Amino acid sequence: MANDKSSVRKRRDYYWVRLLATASAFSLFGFGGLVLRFVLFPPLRFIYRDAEVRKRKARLLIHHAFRAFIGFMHITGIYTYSFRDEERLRRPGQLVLANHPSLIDVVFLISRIPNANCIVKASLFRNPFMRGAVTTADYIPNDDPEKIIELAAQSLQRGESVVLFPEGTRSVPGRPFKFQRGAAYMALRAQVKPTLVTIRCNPPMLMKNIPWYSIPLSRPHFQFDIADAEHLLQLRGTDESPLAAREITHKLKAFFTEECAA
Amino acid sequence: MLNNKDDILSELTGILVEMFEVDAADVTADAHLSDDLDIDSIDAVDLIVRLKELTGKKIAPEEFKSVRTVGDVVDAIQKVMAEQ
Repeated sequence: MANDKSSVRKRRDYYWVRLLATASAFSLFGFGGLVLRFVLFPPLRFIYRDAEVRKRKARLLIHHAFRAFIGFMHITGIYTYSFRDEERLRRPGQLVLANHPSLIDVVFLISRIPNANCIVKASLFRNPFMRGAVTTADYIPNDDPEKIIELAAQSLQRGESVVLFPEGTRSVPGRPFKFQRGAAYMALRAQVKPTLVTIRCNPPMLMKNIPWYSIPLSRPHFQFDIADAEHLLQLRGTDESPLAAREITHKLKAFFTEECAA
Repeated sequence: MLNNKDDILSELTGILVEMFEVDAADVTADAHLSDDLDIDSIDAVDLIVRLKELTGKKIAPEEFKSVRTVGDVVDAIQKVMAEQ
């Protein structure tokens, strides 16, 4: 009975196609970075004299490029994905906090947020492929903690959204979350209640310490759930202090731990 | 009151408990600030401000760059107290 092939409908996940598509996606990402840097961004200098406007347009361009890139990886079958309440991410001035299972989480999030600022690895400001984008969009380098918090809080007060992974780096599967407290300080300083995005990727792909070509046998699905921290956190009238930051961080960690346990 | 290391340590213990709600029993000279007490670089900035109030002297953040353990903090405080 088990040998009767017609009765066993095997799910076809096209491993080799996905592997090839993943390789193409990596190349495309680097190529896209160069196109932004050398083709699309230089004219912005002449079209938009105002540095603030130019920065916003650059972020909008990155947003559309990421949207197209997410679409490319979807139609080539690298993954399937779904957002729940994605329109909520479009509202301005949000502190968007998410867990960080995969390399492409930030690409997904920015593809849904038109004026997104984010905290990026300082080394990307020296990376030839990424330099154009991160400097023109005026993203925040992750070198000095106090500077990150101040720049992010100012950004929020200007009505930009800030995307941040409180873990600071990708999660290690099976290990408890380790949250840094910068997110809490930003929320306290700007008095902005965070928007929480739970990212689930099943089976996991592009994890920390795993090479890009080590893709899962079945096709991953990304699920994004968006929640307000309205009932979770009390910020109003709370002064910025190490204890307040600890309490908020503790609650954030509990939220994501519970969400991701399911 | 801040003449010897034991006095400084007990004073510092009180501050760490008050500011970061660490367990007083965990504060020993060997305790590592970030690994054992979960005190990060942002906390360190607040701690420097508080220590300035305690000692009445300015502690340069650079002094604090090499600080890893509670014992290092005690040494740093002792050093600024010795300076005139």
